[in-house]
Amino acid sequence: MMEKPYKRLKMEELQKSDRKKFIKQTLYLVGFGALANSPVKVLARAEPKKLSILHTNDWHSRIEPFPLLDKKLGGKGGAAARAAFIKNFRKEKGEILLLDAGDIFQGTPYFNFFGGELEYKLMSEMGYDCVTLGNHDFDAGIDGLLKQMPHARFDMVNANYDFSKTALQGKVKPFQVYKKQGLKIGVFGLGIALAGLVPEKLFGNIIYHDPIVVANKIAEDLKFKHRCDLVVCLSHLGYKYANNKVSDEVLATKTAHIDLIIGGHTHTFLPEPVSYTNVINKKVCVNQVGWAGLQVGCINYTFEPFVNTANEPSSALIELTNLDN
Amino acid sequence: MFLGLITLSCQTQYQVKNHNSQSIAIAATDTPQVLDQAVIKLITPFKEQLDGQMNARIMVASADLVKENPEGSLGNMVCDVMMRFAKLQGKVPDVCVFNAGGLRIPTVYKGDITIRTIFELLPFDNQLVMVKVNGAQLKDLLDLVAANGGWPVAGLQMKIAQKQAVNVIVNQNILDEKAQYWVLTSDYLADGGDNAAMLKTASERYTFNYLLRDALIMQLKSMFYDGETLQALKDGRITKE
Repeated sequence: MMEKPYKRLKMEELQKSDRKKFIKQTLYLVGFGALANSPVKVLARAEPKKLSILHTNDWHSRIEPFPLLDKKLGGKGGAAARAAFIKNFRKEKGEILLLDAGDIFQGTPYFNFFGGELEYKLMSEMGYDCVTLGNHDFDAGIDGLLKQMPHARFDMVNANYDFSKTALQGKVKPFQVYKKQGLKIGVFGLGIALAGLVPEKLFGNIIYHDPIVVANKIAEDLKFKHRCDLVVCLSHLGYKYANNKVSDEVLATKTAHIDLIIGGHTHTFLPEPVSYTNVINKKVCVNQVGWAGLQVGCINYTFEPFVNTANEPSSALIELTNLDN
Repeated sequence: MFLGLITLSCQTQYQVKNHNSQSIAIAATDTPQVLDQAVIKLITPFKEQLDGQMNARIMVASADLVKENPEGSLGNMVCDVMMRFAKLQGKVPDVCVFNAGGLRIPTVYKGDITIRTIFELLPFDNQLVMVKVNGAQLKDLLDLVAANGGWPVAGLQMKIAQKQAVNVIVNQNILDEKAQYWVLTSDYLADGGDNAAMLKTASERYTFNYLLRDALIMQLKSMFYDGETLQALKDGRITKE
């Protein structure tokens, strides 16, 4: 029942953007005539762009590889091997986006003794761009998290926790827009309900809001207001549940305008990203790479100029941007 | 005029044409030559501070201890050792219940158990507590244990049928809804965590002033000193229909 007014709103917006486009095109052709060039030629020069995203989740303070005594995981993981891979990958690809879906903290004595300082320092060294907060990132309380923030040279995003009555207000942003490889990527975060999961004294006055409602609002803003080429959600909701608890699967199918959901919390090793169809019949990818830094997920995107039936001629305008560069 | 047009055109968006993906396995032993030196340099001073205390052996496991449903040798060990710890503190709990989610490693492997092992098994700063509940509240708690497919317990026997606890035996007697019982557990569950809301209405609470892991470390140390090692014990305390 919620979808109907939403769709109507979209139609109005499309019509509005059509009018804008018509004006733009007209202006464009006038300007173009002055340059005495052919629009067809310009179209042909629009080149696809490429961007790679690397991601992790639920590191749980596994700084060293698992001990060799461990028959299943002995020798696997470890920050030094991960950093080496990331740095080589970046050398090969140039600008990339490096993300984490939360629960960086808790699980080895490194967290009990140093409170997450080393985890944040290592992620800064690896060049992480953005992370979201998992439930265990609150295990030393809001003050504990706040204390480690100076060690983090990356952004923290969450859009469905209201931090306004806490010391985290302004330190965790709802979203962040990145410019990489000539593309605009909007990244926002979603967190799990903390009540019953994290002791109240640790999460204090953080107020939880419905992730679906929040995601629809933020993703739409990122796509249309901020004109992002890709909208990424860093989610610590969990991949999916046997009951109807909100999860990445629910999020993917009940929202619009998210392109990629990078998940965590359930420690799910997805063999490859799972594709879902969202409420406007577009594809959404969901991925999660287990836990403990045992794997790094890698998604290599190829982009083309934004085209749909209402939008086609605008692709010619891209070349002017390139001329500007 | 033309500059204005260029500004307009900057707003043009791209869309995903296609993508490919892979998950890269990270392992140090397979590729010892590709370890990032800057990261190793960052880790070293922290690691050196930890290794001295963390690598101390406090116990030996004679077999792999495994976290399992409805009962596992790892959960049984933790509960049995905690019951012994409580008794040495002069307290006599009737039963012990922890949530499975509190045990953070799936297997404690045969061989040396170090302080690090126990930190990784029980990383949370939860206190060991004892709460006094009536039989009806205990039944509610054990129904929660059953609904979760079985949690680590000690001091009782029960069967899981239709996600409920049936045939519950405590101290050789059938569970009496009107009797009072002391439950050894964590402050996390006692505060109602993991849906254990029934424990919030407990009539009394005793706090040992030991974190779970500190209690376990102390007790394992003293057992090892007395020549004990850990066996993988499964005695059918929780069975499933």
